[in-house]
Amino acid sequence: MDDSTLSLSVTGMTCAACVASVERVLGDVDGVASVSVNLPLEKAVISLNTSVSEEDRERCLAAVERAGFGASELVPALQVRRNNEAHVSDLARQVTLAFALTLPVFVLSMVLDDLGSWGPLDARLTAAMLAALPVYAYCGAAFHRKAWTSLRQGTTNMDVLVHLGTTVAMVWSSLVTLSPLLLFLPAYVGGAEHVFFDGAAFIIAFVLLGNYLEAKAKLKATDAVHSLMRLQPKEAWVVVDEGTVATPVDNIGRGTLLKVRAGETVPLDGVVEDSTALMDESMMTGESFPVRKSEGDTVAAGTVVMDSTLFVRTTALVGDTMLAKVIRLVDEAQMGKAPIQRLVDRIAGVFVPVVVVAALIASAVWWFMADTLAPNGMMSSNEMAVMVLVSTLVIACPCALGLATPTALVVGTGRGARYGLLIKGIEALEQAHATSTIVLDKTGTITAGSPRVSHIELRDGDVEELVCLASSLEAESTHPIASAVHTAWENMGYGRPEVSDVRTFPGLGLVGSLDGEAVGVGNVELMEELLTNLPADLEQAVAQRARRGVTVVLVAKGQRLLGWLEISDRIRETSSAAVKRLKQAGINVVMLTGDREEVAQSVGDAVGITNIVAGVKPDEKAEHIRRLQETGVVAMIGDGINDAAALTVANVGIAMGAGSEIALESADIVLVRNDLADAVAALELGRATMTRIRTNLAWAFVYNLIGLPLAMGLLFPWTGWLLPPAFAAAAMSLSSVSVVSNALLLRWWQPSAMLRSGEI
Amino acid sequence: MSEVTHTLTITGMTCGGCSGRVTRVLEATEGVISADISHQSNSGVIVTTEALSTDDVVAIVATTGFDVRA
Repeated sequence: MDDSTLSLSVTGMTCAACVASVERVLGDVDGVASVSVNLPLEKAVISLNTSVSEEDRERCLAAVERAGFGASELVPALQVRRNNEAHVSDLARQVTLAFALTLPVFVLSMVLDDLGSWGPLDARLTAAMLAALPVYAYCGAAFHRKAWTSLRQGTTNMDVLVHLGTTVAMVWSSLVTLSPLLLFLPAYVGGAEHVFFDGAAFIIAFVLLGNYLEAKAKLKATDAVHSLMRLQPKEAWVVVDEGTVATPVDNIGRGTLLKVRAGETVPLDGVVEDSTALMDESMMTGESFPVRKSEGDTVAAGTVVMDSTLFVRTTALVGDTMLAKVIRLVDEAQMGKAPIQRLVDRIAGVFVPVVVVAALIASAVWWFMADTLAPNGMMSSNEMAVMVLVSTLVIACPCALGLATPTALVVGTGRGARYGLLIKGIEALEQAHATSTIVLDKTGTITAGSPRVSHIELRDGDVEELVCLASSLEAESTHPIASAVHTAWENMGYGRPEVSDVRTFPGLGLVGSLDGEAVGVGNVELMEELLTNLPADLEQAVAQRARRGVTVVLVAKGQRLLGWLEISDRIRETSSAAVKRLKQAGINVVMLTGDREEVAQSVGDAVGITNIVAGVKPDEKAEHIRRLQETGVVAMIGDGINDAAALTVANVGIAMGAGSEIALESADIVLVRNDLADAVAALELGRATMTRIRTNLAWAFVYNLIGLPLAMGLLFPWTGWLLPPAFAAAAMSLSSVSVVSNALLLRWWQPSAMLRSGEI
Repeated sequence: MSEVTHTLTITGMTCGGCSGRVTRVLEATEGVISADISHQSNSGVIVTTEALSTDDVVAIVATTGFDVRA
């Protein structure tokens, strides 16, 4: 990719004047040679005079935003991946170099005995010093630099510990080595026998190893997202007059007709035209059962056409497809900082200064009192003091602590994405773990959300009249009941009389007029308003059906009750298994619905929910959630559209079916599939991840707890145990490795198989 | 604080989106009380506090990419 080209995504351009504005505004920016703006692709490609710098990026983005548009850099996802991979390779090289240079230091310090003298200096020590210098100064350069940056800002971090530890070790050891030349030094320096060149070198090598492992783990953990990216085809077959032409996906605007052949992957989200095919949606949803898509159905980029050719009219640009949104979602979730992570950062911030002080105190104690406290022949008190100082600083390195959470979270969210569980914020995982109550919406969540007319009861007139009237009144309604009525009417193939003056009465039904008479469709209350003599058994008949989970929609014309339509909603297969699973986990399951008490009750009985709140109006849902929150952490599952407010109020908002923008906006977790079982899986994932984080943190603490006293020499008087700096470095590295490995074990997490098949 | 009204001629706006954008940018600026921009009449009437001079307002509108005169 060209160094001097910058591509931006520009939103908000509505017409040619906007294009001109963007071109003008960007053209005015320093260093810009030319600009090309594409309206349908919402893209601006900028050519600069030199290679693109950070300032250039900032200036261009700012200029576009000041003009009132939205701007963000269009970095091809593949480029980000390549950058990360390059970073990891770079670190690998650094680690190899560090260990390679450390080896001679190790040999010279620990293996060889005496090599004679170079003039007044000891040859072995001098060689060790010269071998260690490159490691300290070159391999360790970043640590020293970052340590000073941190100190200048008044904070301490891991780099400070590494810098202090290695510097003390190097300075002391060099002074000892050069003491024959530096006659002004006190005698105890020259008399010292122990130097710590190997310690300093190993510290740097091991910390670099830790950094490499962390970067590698992050790369591996984002494999899940990366494999999602690979689903995106780079080219598509655009239908033109003469046939089709292969076009890069980046250049396809909305409303373009594409041809997708059997075996090919759908390149962009769109609507099917004039064709039908079986689709494999498993990469997106984990659902392996083929789905049929026909005229008017939406298809998503990343799914595969199985048997025949499909024509798709695009509805999204390559950056706006469901696939792209999922990738961005997972990516952002993985980059976010969880509350627990912030806590760890704060602890580390306090921890480091405390450790430095403790190290200095311990060191001072040994310096002055070693000979009296615990005389030993191995080393002088001064040497011991220095060793204790270095080792304490190193072993206290909270890098394991810093790694514990992010690695597990990154792996966890990535794994979730693989199963269609899109965790939007890392806080969501933490809250999911702590959930004590879960609130379920009925229609569309527990039930399939597609009610059907199951029976037509006739009291007067004929079926045609009843169905046509009901359908006509409900013509403009988007209520699920209306769609059931429409479907029934369509299947019957009747004509439709025009009903006029249609008015909606919320909670009751619809009323209009036809042939001079008042007509109505709705519930019993509405009939009581319209009709003077209701059949006596009506109330009971309706209630009886409601107890079976059937909704009754009555139709009246003038003063005649024509009859009613019985509408029932299919309960999803996995719902009762999911509810059972939730209860087993000790979670209180509550159903919240706007539907009637009896219908809710019967659905509740079918799936095993006893806590039911029925007849809840949409604006009351949020209030119910708040009340439940007084008892604990509340999760809410809904379809996102009319539950938006409640989802936001809940601690964990879970939206099913990833189609609507509102779902993505208001929910913390988005389930790609419309399956309650996935919500349970999401909660399970939250628990698995949090458990792993906790064990990691405990592990990291234990390491420090054992290592610190050991390094400080607290056990020395009784056991003679000390921790040489090299060992301290190795131990610290080991703790990082084990924490990262433990987190990576999450890669094998799976939703329990039982949930997927619906059995339990 | 008294209010100042600035009347500007803004050319190049071809649709509601354009004038809407200018309005948004102005209203997001500190010191701007109200902005009435019309693409049909190529004009903008902007009411601000005394903190902003007409030149300031012209400069702000200019960042949106249109030609503007006081």
